Amino acid sequence: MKSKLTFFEAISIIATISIAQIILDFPEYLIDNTGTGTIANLLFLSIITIIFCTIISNIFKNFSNQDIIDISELIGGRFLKFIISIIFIIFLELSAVLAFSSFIYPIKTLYFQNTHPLFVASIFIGAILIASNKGFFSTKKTATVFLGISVISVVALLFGDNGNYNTNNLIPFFGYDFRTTFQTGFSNIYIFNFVIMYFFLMPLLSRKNDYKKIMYSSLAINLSLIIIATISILLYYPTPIGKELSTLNSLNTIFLVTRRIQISSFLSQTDSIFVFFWSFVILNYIVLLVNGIVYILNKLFHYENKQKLSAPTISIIIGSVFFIDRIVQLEFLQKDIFKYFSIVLIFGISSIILILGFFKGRKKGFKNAKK
Amino acid sequence: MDFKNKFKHIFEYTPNKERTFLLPLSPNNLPQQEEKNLDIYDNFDKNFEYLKVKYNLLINSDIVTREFEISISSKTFKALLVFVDGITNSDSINNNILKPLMLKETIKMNPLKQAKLNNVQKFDLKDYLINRLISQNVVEISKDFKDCFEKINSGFVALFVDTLNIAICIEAKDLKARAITTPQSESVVRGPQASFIETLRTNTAQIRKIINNENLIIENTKVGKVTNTNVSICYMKNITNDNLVAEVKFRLNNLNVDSLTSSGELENLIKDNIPNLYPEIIATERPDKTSNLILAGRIAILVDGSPFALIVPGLLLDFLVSTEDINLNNVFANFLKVIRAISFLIAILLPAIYISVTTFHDEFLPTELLLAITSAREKIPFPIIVEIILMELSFELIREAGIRVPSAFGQTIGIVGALILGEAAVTANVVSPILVIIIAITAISEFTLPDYSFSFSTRIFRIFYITLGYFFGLFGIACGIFMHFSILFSYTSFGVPFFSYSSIKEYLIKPIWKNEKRNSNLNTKRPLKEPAISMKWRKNEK
Repeated sequence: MKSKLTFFEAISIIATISIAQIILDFPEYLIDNTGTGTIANLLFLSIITIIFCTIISNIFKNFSNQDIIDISELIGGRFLKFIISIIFIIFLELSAVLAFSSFIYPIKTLYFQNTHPLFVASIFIGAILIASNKGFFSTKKTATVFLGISVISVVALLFGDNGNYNTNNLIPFFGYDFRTTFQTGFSNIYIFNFVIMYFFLMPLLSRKNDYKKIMYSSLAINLSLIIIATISILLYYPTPIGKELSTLNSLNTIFLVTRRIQISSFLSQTDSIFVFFWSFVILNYIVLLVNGIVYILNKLFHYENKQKLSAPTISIIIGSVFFIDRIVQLEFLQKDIFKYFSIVLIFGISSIILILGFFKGRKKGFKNAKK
Repeated sequence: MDFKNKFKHIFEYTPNKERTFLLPLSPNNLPQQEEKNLDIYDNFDKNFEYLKVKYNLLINSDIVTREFEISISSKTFKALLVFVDGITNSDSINNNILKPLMLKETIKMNPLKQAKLNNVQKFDLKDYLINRLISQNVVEISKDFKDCFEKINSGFVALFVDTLNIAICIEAKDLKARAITTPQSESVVRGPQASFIETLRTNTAQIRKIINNENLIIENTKVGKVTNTNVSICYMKNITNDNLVAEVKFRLNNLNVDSLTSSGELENLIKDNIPNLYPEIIATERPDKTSNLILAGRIAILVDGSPFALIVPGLLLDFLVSTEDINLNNVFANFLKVIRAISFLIAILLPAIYISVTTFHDEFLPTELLLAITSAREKIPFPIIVEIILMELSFELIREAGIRVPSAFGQTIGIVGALILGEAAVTANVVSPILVIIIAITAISEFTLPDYSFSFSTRIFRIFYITLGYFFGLFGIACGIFMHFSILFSYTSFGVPFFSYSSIKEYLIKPIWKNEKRNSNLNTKRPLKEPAISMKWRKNEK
């Protein structure tokens, strides 16, 4: 009961995922893909996501104490459960590796030019290790505490520049053409990969009836934040965003946006304040991912002390991070691997399992579905 | 010493005339096992011999034994009084114990009693002594020596009578205690000016005086195998959660320690999280604060000999609350509480932020301020971390010296500190004036924290953050804060989350007419303190 999520805690955790991905420059990847049509593209994808989530919530009504791993066991036995668990673990590991490296490299470039990345990462690793060892109870509380400041930091991107941005950057609203914005741009749906939480949320909730409410509230918050962040970048930089701005400097565009924000004439360069607050979000995000991996591993192997799994999990993540020594590798992983992996896993595999589980459950009767 | 003697001294043995002493290993290393608890004998001599051995009566100067005889009708019984000089009242022993037992050579009895006495089996000497002869209000029976010794050591007089296999323990306590004075460490402008003292019963009486209710329970237990220290557990039977009471008793009854001499020791023995640097138990010397917290559903633990009550559970934000707060209008109180919360953050983070901004994030500062800092540091030969460590160390030294020296020198220490640190160090270009300001603000902020132990933890965490700030800048401080929060959220104090949202919500005081609920974390038996309308006089009765 101690680790069950309340309404606000659930929303905070889901929002943390989105805010972290905004900080990790996901909106820039969308803009690269669809140009000025990104806003239209996001609105279109938002409608699809809302419909998708409505279907999920209606199916999950029947599985009040089960998540996607349990449902996979229901339809394919232990073998399928094992396979699905491993796929989810790989996904979470990959997300953590990308988050870690996408955050550490810009920080190194900005503040620690002459320092070895391992030194910069060491404090980050220490914080993740300690927080992960404290378990999910501590993580959900921390996520809630930092939610407010994280949301403000994203909204501040839009309103922080005293109107020095160029609204012409937003047009043409539908981007390059209809096909790019709505057809090839469909792959932008991976920005909504926070939807993965909905497949695991039900057994974690203290009040199961809140599932739908949490889903729609978090959708509203996350969609707004993603759109706000995308508009901010579009307003500051004309598309296509020059490679020289981000890639060569190994800086996220969102970091560059913060450099332009001014709070009166007294504080002219506020990027360090943003880095300060965003560190909380990224740390929370990675700790959440580690907790997610530990949760799935525990479902598979039923450990006596599951928190002992966090140290090896983090070691694997850190080990993988130092394999990425070029920004190009990072971009490849993010744009080509992670993007399609998210889409296939969330909108493909998980949905199919859920639907099959629903039919099997309906056939056997949902009360006995667990058996 | 002439040459000959010197020569002799070098080559010949000369006994050392100065006596030297080195502590040898103890030959009497007693095995760590419980001593047998013997029952009291019905033989007077045996009892006396045992007492002589156990109390080392030949060398123990404060243990008094008094042999005498009690004559009842034609029978005479040998009797012995044992008590500790200095903690018993001589007048009480003479007038209420010895006089009735000794003055009448033979206690005459009515014929009926005489008949009973002749029939020895029916006559109960114990009852007769307790009910007829000893005119003292508290009389207890001890059947074994251990219990008897505990009572003697706590101010009872033990009466051993031949043929009785019990000791009659008669209370004759006269523990010298200081008068109730004003609190030394928690002074307030408005509010009671009484504090706890070293006597347990006086302290419990002070609580009983404030909480005039039969539901106030004051339970006693003993801690310490050697010291047998009395510890009182005070709680409201109809308010406090039973599981919390059970947990406190469980922890106190499962302490396998030789001695307990202060509440500080007990605090460390029963706290939940050993590595937690924050205090988890509130220590107060104020009976009014103790009573308020008991009424809120918490438990007070009083240790005999200690003028501080321990209150459990203690939550993080409790240590930012002053006793003054409830005596003030809630707006003023909340203003002070917010100030204290800010000063807590300043005390922990300000030097770390200064060091990180000047080392890593100087672009963040306005140009004028940056130039001011740079020019102030221009002539300083040390790196900024050395500067800060020097200042922090000097400040800690002054503070420690200020506490240790007699109060008459306190002012001198302050002047020397201020002059050396404030003036001389800056003039000598050892530290920059801006850093002096930073350290001064930090110190003042720390002084606003109402709890003594809490300010200790603040100092330790400040050093931790300074290190992070120096090596990793704001990024490091953020990681530190994140770790701090993660750890804080994982702690509990007696089953209650040490830091939670609800405690943040309940930190600010509501107006007195809206203050209906008890702390939700405590899961009390009576969550509501008063009805929705407590100020009935404001409402027109229909």
